[in-house]
Amino acid sequence: MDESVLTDHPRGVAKERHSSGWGKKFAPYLLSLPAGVWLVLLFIVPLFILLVQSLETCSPATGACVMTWSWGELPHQVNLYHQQFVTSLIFAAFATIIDLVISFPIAYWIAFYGGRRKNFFLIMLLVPFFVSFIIRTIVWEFILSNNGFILTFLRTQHLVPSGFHVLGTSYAVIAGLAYNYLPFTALPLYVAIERIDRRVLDAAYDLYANRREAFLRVILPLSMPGIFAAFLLTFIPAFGDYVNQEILGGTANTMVGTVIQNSFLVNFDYAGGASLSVVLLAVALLGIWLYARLLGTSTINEYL
Amino acid sequence: MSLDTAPDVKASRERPLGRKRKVGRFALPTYSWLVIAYLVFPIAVMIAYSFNRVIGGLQLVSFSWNGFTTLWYQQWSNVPGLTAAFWLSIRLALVSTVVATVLGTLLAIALVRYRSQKFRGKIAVEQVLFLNIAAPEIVMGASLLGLFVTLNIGRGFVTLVLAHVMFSIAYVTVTVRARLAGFDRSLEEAAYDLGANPLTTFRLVTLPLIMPGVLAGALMAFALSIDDFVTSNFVSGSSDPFPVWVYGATRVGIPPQVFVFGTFIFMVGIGFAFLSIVLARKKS
Amino acid sequence: MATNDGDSTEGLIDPAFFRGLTQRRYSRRQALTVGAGVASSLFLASGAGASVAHGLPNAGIGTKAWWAKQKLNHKVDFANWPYYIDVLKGKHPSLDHFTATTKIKVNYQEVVQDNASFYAKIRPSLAAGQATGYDIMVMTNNNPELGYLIELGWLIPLDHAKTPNFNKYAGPLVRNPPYDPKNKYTMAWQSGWTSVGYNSKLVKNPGDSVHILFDKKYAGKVGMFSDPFELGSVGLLALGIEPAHSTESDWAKAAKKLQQQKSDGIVAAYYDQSYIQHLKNGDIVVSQCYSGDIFQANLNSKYKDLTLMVPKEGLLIWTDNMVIPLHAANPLDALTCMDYFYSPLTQSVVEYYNDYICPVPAAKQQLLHPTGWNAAALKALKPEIGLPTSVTANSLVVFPSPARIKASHPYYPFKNQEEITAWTNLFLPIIQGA
Repeated sequence: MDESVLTDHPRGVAKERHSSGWGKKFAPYLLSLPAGVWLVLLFIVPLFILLVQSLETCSPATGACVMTWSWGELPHQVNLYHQQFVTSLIFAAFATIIDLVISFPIAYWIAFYGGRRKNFFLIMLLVPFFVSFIIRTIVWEFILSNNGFILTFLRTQHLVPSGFHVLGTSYAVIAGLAYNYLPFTALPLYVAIERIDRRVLDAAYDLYANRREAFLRVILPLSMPGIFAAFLLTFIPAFGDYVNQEILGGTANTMVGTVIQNSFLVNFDYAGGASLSVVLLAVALLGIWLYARLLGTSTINEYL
Repeated sequence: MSLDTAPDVKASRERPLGRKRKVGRFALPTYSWLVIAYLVFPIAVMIAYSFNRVIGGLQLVSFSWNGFTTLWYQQWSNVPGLTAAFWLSIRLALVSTVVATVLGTLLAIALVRYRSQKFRGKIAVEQVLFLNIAAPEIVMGASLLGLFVTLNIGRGFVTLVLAHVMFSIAYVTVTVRARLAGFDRSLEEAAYDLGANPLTTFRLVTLPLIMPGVLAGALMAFALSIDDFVTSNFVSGSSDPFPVWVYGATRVGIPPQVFVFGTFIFMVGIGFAFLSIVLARKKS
Repeated sequence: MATNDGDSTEGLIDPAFFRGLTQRRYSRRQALTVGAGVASSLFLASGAGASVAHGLPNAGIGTKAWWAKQKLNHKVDFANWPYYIDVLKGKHPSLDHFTATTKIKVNYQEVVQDNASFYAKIRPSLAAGQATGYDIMVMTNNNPELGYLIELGWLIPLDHAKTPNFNKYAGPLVRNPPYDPKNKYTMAWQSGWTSVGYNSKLVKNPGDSVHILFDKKYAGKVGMFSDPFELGSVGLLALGIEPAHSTESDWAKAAKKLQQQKSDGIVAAYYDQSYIQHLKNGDIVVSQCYSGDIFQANLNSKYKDLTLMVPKEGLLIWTDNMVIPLHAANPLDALTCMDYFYSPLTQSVVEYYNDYICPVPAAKQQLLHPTGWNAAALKALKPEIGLPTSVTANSLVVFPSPARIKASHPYYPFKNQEEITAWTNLFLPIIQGA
């Protein structure tokens, strides 16, 4: 609602007192200043530093970097690790789709049928994720290990061949990703579905829509921004994740996040790590941009 | 078409219990509870094995059942690095949640209330927010490390707070904004009509109404902070938060006390859940 | 420190590093803050003298005169690896006795999970000329980080006039090691072997060669180390090449063999020390391993099938070393504490728990016939450990014969950063590539 409505209101004196003056003019800037400054200093600026770092040469011993304008570092890293990018893309995509499919019904149920216990269900959805995901992933690692109770049971019942193992496979990694990022999917979906005006739905029923039509033509389109947001909020972190692969994965499914982490924290190859990070960010942004074009850019701003 | 042959008109309002409807009515709840059960499954395993005995050798979690014991709960603080890491995570999450919620809520209000003409740079802010949410955490962590190294800032609690607030603001803003978007301004106008200034209006009218959204944002920020690993790993220096400590400790094995802490955190979460039901009941 | 060993100044700043750089002159102040010239050429380990050139941060520190001025502050911050010291109901008997006799309180922190991540934590402080918060740190010699610390002048040289226990009791393995001549900076904490471990119940006829790691019979159930220095070295051993005398073309051959091992699907995963959990779980049946891990695992009767192999190609030997970082707040307390651990009585207590290679051979007698305070400590520890002290004392893994020590292979001593980079470029893609 535009502020001008207030000043134009016929009922006037008290309003005018508050709707004039520099306070109102600067209000949006003042309100967004703290957050804006924080984000610029600690988010935008470091990204540029990363870009700069990818062009530098760094000493692993001291960590000091010198600008050498090595534009060749980026293509070199991509050349070395392009397979990892593909692996990350595929894993993240699968995990996100699985999450969307799992989350939509439950988000829908809580939003429409939660009633007064909505908050309770949301918290039930979130509570497992209060426990550090490292712990959860480690527990999965043991649950799925060869001598763990599940696999032992399956093997003794001859439901799986004796050489069957889960850990180290790509499926284990995808399952871990899907599990760990579920709330990132469920929450935005819930928020979007919850915002759907029931009256629109009732209107659809009034117009003789059956439940399937109501879903496909009313609920789904209206929750599209939420689906879009849920997809992004799940896919991007999953894309850069490495913990799941490190704990649950094997040799054939290294993700690009693992390489970046090793570059920075183990091998002290800052320039290489920075290059990979820049490429990772670029790929993520490219994907988002493409997706946004398909859905229409207005959707992003509208949702955010 | 006469009213009584119109399909499902009444159904949507009164939900008669035809056979199909009966099944459908239970499908969704059952499914949802199954999902929650699946989510809780590893937690249940964790809780169970926090009561598991360890026989011989190092005091590490054994994943075969050796017998029940409450020893680890009695000796919960026996692993000094772990206890310190846990308290650090709690302090960190509290501080960063408060800061991020305040900053994020203010930003959300600014974004919802003001059109681009009155708010120059609004589009840019939205794009930055978008980028923040979209950026992979590893990129944010690595870039922050680069920043702190370049500026020679020692890494510790302060850098952790800086980082945690940074990645939480956008989530808080998005959550609060989603709530604010459907907000009915007429209530605020009514307050103005009654002579309230903007600050009072905000305090007595706006804030209580958007509080559910703000709380949701705060909850999100808290969960993000207490669970954060990647960014913290890059900027923690020698003060490790809980997830970073656990990750580092997993090499040879994890002490059972890790599960004790995990159980504790989980119980606190359950406590919140019950609290919310109680509050909801009270409201009505 | 007055000694200047030869052409040390040149070695620190390699002209090659400046090739391809834009012309840039480092002011002396920059050089000091950035760490002696951002050297990409570091003379590591092989005894090139660890020279102190004009401008190194530890110039003038650690001399006899400097040590004479140090006073005891009665506290010391000790950073070590986890599960590396005796522990009894949450306390450490060896440290408690130290505090009781010297009144020096020890803040013992098990914060070293691996050399690289620990180095990443302390480096910013050292590079900025600030204290790390630790007085004693323990770093391994088979990763570059210890070499970096020495080369960049970030360690305080030790005064062995103040280390009587060490002088008297240090074993030949840890005295005057090749990576730190005359123990200028380091005193070993423990040594260990990297070898092959397997589950004897699931692996029949393991043989005695590292080739078991490459055996297709165990495809998908073999664990290898994710540390490129460990991985490359075992590849060299498998080709019958001594790592310490290998050449770059040897490295390429080893890389090829390891890549083949990976493509054949033999490797389950590349592990850090967490391999031991997967060996226990049955996820893998044979793996590269550390000698002490197997011993400690065997203490639990459930895992008594885990066995350490002594391959005919030899064992790789590494040493974890205590060092005092620059700007440590309590250096004299640190040195006193370090020397305390060379008393055979102390080592007997530590070794009873540790089961890695003991730096003090005389501790063996102390385990069998304790003569002092350690008698009570050993007795108290026995129920926790579950084995009599004689098992530890007679173990060839803990007190190896001189012949076995001689037959152990050290790691390749890197001469400069280029070599390190060449090595990691060969072996890292195997570990983290697809």
